[in-house]
Amino acid sequence: MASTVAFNFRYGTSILHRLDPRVKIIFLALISLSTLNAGSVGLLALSLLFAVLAVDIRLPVSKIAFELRYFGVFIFFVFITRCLTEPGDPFLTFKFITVTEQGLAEGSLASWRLALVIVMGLLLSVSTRPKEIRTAVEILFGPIPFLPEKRIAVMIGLIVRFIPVILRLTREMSEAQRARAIEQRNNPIYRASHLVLPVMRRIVDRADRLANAMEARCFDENRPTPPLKMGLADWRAMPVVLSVCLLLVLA
Amino acid sequence: MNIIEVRNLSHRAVDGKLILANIDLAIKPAEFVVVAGANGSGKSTLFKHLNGLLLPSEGDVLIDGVAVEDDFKRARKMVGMIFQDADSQIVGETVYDDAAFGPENLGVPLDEVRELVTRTLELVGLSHLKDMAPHLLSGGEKRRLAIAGVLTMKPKILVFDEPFSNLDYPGIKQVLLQMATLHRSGHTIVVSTHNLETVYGLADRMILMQAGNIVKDGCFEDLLSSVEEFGIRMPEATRLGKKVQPWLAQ
Repeated sequence: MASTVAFNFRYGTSILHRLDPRVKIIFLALISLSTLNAGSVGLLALSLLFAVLAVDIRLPVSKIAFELRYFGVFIFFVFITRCLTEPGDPFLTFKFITVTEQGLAEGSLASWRLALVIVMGLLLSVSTRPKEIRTAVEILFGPIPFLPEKRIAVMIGLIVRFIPVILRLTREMSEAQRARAIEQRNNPIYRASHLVLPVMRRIVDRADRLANAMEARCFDENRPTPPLKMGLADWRAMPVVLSVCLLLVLA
Repeated sequence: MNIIEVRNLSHRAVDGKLILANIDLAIKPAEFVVVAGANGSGKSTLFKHLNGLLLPSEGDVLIDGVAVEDDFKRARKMVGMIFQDADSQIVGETVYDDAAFGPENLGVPLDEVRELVTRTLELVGLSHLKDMAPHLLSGGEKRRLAIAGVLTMKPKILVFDEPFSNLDYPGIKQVLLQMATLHRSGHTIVVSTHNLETVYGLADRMILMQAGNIVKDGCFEDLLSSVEEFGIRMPEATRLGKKVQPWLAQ
């Protein structure tokens, strides 16, 4: 199933595994913001850093690349959109479609940035237990007034848990409809509505049963959170991340 | 003293339809009771009253002498419920997290939770999978995780709502083994199932339900020959006048 195994936590002792999840989330936010206007030098440096971290985590790169192939389609869509919409010197013209040199450059950079953000999310999720991500979110949102941090943390936990279930429901429903020749229908709206509505109905039904199951196990929003501790590795990682951010912004 | 006592319980759905009608039921500690009946006979609705997921329109439900409505937390701690669809019951992001969900809600200190979860996962044979995402487990493993999820709350009563649905033969045997172990350790077991052969040799008593009523209540073996009139298949061996072979002995 696409993107359900790739983002799973993998037990390990890599540098990323040793970092505090709060620090990792802050790093992720800082690097994501820094990549917004990053050039090719900065992106290359970040790509090298991620490659080293991926080797350190021992990610099965080819398997994960296969599982994330649908993200590739999305990235390609971003690339094509930028190629066609960016004004500049024509590189290729076919009838009313013009691909500009600036569009090619911008499209490449935009899709590179997006790919790196996806890889960053992947590195975070494979090196951090979901429970620790939930706890870190709860702690980081804690000081912000009017934000129900515990509820947000529970919601994040449930999303992580139920995305694979929803994907499986969708796949089952899609297969059942293909078995009854839905592909013979050319109207995409007809096809989408006959997939989305039953899937939504099943998801709502699941949510109802989930609520029952949580209530049966005495669900309480104020559950204890596991203690998180910052260590030497977090402090050592800080200058590296800040240098990378500076490089991304300035280079 | 009865551990479960249901007195004159009636339940109406939101549309006014009568789902349960004047149910009277008493279950003693450490009994193994099978509740059987056709779909829509009211088994799941009855079960949901045992820990306050549904409240009676009329009547009372008492767990170990205390009305469920008077103390929901106590009722839910005492009555562990394993639902038909394990996927909807498992809420944790990993096997460990799911098993820890109940005791964490009850405010058990984290050190104790860790010890409790480790012991329980060992008991159900899932300790080697503690870091795995639940959706990657097999059907039998998911059902065992659902059992572990309620066992960590140290319930005295375990209610299984059609625990064998969608399971293969090894999966059913794994769940049966857990049930037998729990029953031997003194837990009260209440199970609903359409396949009576599976619980043969474990169950002491059978309650047959039809259209929201209890129509028969008696010794499991004695009632086997009369189940078909209530929409449940009689074990083939019983039909042939032979003794049913318990699944765990096979």
